Amino acid sequence: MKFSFIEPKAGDMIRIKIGSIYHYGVYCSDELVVQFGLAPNLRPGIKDCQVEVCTSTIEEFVQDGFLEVAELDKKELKKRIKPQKTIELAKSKIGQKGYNIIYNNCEHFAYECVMGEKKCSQADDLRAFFRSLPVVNLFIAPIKDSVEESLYPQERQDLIDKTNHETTKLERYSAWKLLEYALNRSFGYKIKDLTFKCENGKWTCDKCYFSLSHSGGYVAVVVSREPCGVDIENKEIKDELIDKVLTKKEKQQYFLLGQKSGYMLEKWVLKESIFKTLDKKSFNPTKIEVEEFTTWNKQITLAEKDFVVAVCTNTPDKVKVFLDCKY
Amino acid sequence: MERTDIVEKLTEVLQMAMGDSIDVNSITEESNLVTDLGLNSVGILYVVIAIEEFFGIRFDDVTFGDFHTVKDVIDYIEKKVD
Repeated sequence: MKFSFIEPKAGDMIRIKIGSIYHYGVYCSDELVVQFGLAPNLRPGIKDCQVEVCTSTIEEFVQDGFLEVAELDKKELKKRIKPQKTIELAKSKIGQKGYNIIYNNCEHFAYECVMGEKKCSQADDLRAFFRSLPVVNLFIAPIKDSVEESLYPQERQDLIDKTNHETTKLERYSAWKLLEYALNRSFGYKIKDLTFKCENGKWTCDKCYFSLSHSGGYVAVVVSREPCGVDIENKEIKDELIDKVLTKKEKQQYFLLGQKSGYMLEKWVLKESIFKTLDKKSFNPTKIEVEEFTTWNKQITLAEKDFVVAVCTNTPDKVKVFLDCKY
Repeated sequence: MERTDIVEKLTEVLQMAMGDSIDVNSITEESNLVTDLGLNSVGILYVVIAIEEFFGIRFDDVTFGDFHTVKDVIDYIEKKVD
C-alpha cells in the first residue's frame, strides 16, 4: 500500500508520522477521523487496556505533521470495502477496546476498516528486519554418557539404532540433542515443529540451516539463517598426508612456513566445514581452496584436550560461541 | 531452555532491538522497563517483536503494558517456552 501527500477522501486510510512510527486512522470528514486510540504522544500514561476506538478532527489528528493518504492500486481497489461501508464500520467500532501494540493497534484497525482484514506493515517490517539479522551460533559441548531418549525424527533415531560403535553412537545422539537445544536457543524452534531430510548423509531442515560435527568426546553444532558448515577435530594430521589434503597453492605456502605444526589440521577442518556448506556428494580436500571461502576458525582447549573448530559462513564476524551448554 | 539461558538471550535481544540506547550491562531482573531501561511505545514494539522472533513465542494473550520489570518478561517467556 502506497501513501502520498494528497487530499483525503471519505473512507480513506490516513496516517501521520510521530517520531519513528506512524499513527493511523480512517478519514470520514474534516470533522471526523476514527482511530484506535489517539496518537501515542497524545496519550501519555494511558495503559493499553484503556485505549479505545475514538474520534478527532483532522486538525487534531495531523497535529504539526504532514498527512499521508493511502493510494490503493488496482488489486487493492478491487478488494477494498466501499468507502461508505468503511465509514460505517469505523463508526460502529467507536468505544471498542482490546488494543495490543503488536496484534491490534491503530494500523490493524484502519486497515481492517478499509481492506476487511487486520494487517500491520510496521510490525511485519520489523519482523522482516529481525529475520534478516545474521545469526551464526556455534554450540560445543561434551557428549552425553548414554542414549537417554528416542529422537525426532524417526530417521535420525534409526541411524542411531544402526550404529554399533558405542562412541560414535553417543556422538551422533549427542549432536542431535545439542542441535535440538541450539535451534530452540537461537530461534525458539521446537524440533518437532521442523521437517528434516537426509540426503547423501547431509541433514537439512525446512526453517534454517545447520551443521553437525563430533570428535574426541565433543560435539559441535552451528545454526544459521544462511548456509553454514562446521567441523571440530582434535587429532593431528600427519605431514605424509599433504598430497591428500592440500591444494597445490596451499602446499607451496606450507613449504614456506617456518612453523608447520597445526597447519594441516587447520586446513582440514576448514575444508570440511566448507564441504558441508556445498552441495557436493564427495569430499575431496585437494579441490577446495580455503581462501576462496569466508570462514572462521579457532583453537579451543576443552577438558585439557586441544581442538580446532571451523565454521564456513558468509558472515564469519557474526560467529558466536556457546560452550558447555546444558543440553 | 533454562532460566539462565533465557536471561542471557533476553539481554542479547534487548541489545539487538534497542542498540546503543540501552546499557545491557546495567540490566538486572529488577530493572523497570520504562524508568530504568527507558523503553517507550516504539521501544516496546521493537522489543516485543524481537522476543517473538528469537524465542518463537507469541505475546497474543497479554499486552506488554502488563509487564513492569525485566523479571516479569522473563517469567512470561519461561512459561511460554515450556
